[in-house]
Amino acid sequence: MKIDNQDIIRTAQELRDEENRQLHVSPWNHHHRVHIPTWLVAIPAAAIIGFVLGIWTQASSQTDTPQTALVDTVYIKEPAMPSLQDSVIQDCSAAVQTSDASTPIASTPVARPTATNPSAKGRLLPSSGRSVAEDHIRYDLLVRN
Amino acid sequence: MLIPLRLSTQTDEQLMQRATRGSDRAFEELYNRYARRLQGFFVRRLGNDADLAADFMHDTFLRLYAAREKYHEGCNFRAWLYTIAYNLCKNHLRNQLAVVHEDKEVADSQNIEVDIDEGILHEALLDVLRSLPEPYAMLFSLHYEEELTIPQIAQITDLPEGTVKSRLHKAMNIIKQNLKQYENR
Repeated sequence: MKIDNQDIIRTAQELRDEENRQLHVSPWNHHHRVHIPTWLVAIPAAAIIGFVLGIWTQASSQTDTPQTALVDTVYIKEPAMPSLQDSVIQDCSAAVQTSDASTPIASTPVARPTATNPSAKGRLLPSSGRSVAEDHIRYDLLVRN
Repeated sequence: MLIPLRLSTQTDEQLMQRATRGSDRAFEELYNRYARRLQGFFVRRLGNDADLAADFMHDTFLRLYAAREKYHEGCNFRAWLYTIAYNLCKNHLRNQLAVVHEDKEVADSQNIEVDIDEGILHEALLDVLRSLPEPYAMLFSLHYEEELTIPQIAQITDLPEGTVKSRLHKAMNIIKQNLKQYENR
């Protein structure tokens, strides 16, 4: 058959329709989500971030080492004043030695800081440094790194 | 009494006006009208790559949506839509669309008679259209397949109307001449 312009146009349009019919076209909503205002996202996001940061800050402050644990315990030696009891004992030993010099006393009673002797305990304190009076260093203010 | 508005009865331009004022339903109606057709246009113009055509169609509508506020009354919607589509094709095909393959023998031909069996016309024309060089293929597609007018095509392609007409005439001659290969089969 003779082909003219109209035959070509009609056939081209039939081919177009056939091709278009076979296409898979996604719906618009598939491509374009519903528009949400920015503030509607930003405000809840800021609230959530603030809440999480607050919880985290609170938890971390509880786990921190207390500041006082960083300070060394320093014992300061106090000049011991002889008590009345010590002087009595010393006097007694001297008296014993004087009375019998050939049999010396095996042990001289020395007052030791014990739980049953509170007076002695208060008199002789453990020390890890020198007294403030000797070197003028405030050991109680030293901080462990 | 409020009468529910039927978007399907609205013209493209009325829908676009509504979309400009923020109606997403109006824009969706336009999408439903033109998505398939536009995707088919891209399939034919981009070498039968269906995925690429779907991406280009999607991109065209996204650009249209983004620029919907620039739409003004009196502007032809289809011309606007196909301007975006044409520019996407042009960028993709680089400068191929601007290259004119002058064929004097074809250009001088006035009346080419083709005698071909109607049974093979579909297959023959499909082959011929696929091998049609640019820019004739694009102009043929815009005018005969997408049914845009010559002034609209001139606006889309930024060519003078006379140039569009003469190239369409040449395109038809090239098609006829190539169809002659299928005579007596």
